[in-house]
Amino acid sequence: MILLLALGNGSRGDDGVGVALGRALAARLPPGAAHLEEAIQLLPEHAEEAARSEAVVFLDAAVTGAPGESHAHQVHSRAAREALLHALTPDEILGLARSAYGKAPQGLLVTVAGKDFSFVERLSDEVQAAVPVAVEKALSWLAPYVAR
Amino acid sequence: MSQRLVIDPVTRIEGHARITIQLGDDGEVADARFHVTEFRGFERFCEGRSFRELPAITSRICGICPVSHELASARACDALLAVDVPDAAKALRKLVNLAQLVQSHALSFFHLSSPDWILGYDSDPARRNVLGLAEARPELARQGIRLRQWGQQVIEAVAGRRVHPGWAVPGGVARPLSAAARERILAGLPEALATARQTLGWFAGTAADHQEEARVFGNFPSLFMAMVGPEGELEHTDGKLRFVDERGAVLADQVEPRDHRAWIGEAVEPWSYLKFPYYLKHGYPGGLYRVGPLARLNCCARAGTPLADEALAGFRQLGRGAVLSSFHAHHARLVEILYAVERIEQLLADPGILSDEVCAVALRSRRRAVGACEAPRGTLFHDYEVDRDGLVERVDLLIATGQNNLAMNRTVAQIARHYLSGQRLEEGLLNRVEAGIRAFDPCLSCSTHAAGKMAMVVELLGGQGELLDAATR
Repeated sequence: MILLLALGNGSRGDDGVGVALGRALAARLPPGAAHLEEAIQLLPEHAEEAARSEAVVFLDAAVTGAPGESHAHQVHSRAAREALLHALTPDEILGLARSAYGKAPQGLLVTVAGKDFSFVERLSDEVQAAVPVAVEKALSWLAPYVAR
Repeated sequence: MSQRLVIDPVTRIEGHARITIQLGDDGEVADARFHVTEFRGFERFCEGRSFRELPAITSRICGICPVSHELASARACDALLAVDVPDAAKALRKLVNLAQLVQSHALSFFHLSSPDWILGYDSDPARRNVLGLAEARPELARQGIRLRQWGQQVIEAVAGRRVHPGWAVPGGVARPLSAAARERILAGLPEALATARQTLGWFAGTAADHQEEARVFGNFPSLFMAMVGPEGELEHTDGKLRFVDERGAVLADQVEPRDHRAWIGEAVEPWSYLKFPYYLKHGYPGGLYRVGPLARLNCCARAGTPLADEALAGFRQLGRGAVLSSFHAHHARLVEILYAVERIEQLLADPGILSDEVCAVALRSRRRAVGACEAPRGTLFHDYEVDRDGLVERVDLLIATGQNNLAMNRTVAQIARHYLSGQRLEEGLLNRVEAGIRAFDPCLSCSTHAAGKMAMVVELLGGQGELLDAATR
């Protein structure tokens, strides 16, 4: 099973792109191949779901970069972070999965740089246009897992 | 010449803070201040809105305890409407409040505080967190994750969403509980109960390892305040107020939450946006009182469920009269988790909880009303005034963390007196000051209604206010 962790707040403009990416990506995957989880932020319990998955795609907005610029890079588990609060990062979710459950799946972080994070419930044009591009990047990385 | 120490930021609390330690001319700790320096003024957002919107608006104050704000607000709105909330809605509100207690206490105990005990206060700060805990004690980390997850699943099953559900409304709740949701909750209940019992047994058995912390972390006589039921039993949603003193003697009982201003005063200090509530009859600052899990167990006559009553009897062995050390709030959280799981099962056993009559409809009939409930961190009050059209003229929120403000300041001073050596901020002191504050599980977002995160700075000041040392986390 592939886990799609779509992060963001749809009431804050382009911060909702993670959720938009998750829904678009889930629609492109075979039925039953992926589980989509939408969340405002990453929490320790996401590590349990990650540990039960073969691969995890984290989908999120970025606050840096040109609006609509998309990136996809592999995430590696990390052991710890100083001054840890209750919101975790993708590498820490994988690290926690490894420590607590003995298994860290492969992970990919896909981001799209936002333009407008104000109190609106829509994506900016640049970010909306980047969604299919970013989805293709995720699909490319997921191909081996989908083919199995 | 007196001196001052500053700690910034306090980590692993809900929000960050700044601490000043003031040394006297003799070089000893003269005072300590827990500053809260952010401010958003959430009450002002509400002015001019319809009171019917307030449960949804005020729940946005916090992402950890939105259910508490939603419930206190809905209860204030019930009073504005002067309606009788249907029994099923009352039971569902209790159930959701208890589920939130479970998830919030699990976060505090397992994720935020247990790394101190498992890995040691002087261990590497980079590892002293939930990730380090998972490496050292993976089964404990898993139990914490599962327990918190169950609490959130209960909220989702009943209210539709884990965070900001928008479910408690004036007059009741937005939708009834389905039989399928009831079964989903019950399916996870045995594991939650087993985790609660096992963790309580383990932690109670480590009491000998924590004697120093119990002696130094907020261990002083004070008053305590909490909601109780009509017979003095634990009650988190629909109770009245009880004050007890350090001996456990009842000072005031069955106080209506709407009359809380007759019993609680609020002092203001120029160095913090957090006010300083106190028990009015004893004056400021002599009227220091504490709220939260420690206070609830000190105030109640009994828990009201079989296993929690046994656990409460064990908890009471930690003190003579009231249990005074805020370190024991950790133990109290576990007793409350056990109670909450048992009580949720009791509530679900009543077939009436599936009733589809969950909301009373009425027009506004009062101009002022107060709603209250026990949030995980302590008693929460929402006090509203509205105009004849039901538009909000005044909102006054009295938050648990604010009510613990005086106690947190005294706790920092007590820890500093015990651990400060010389004029430098050593790691051991910083760690224990942080842990002392974490015992209260403060939520600064709630108490100041502030947005975002605050950082903890600790400053050491001399008698003339000169900065001797500072540390930032």
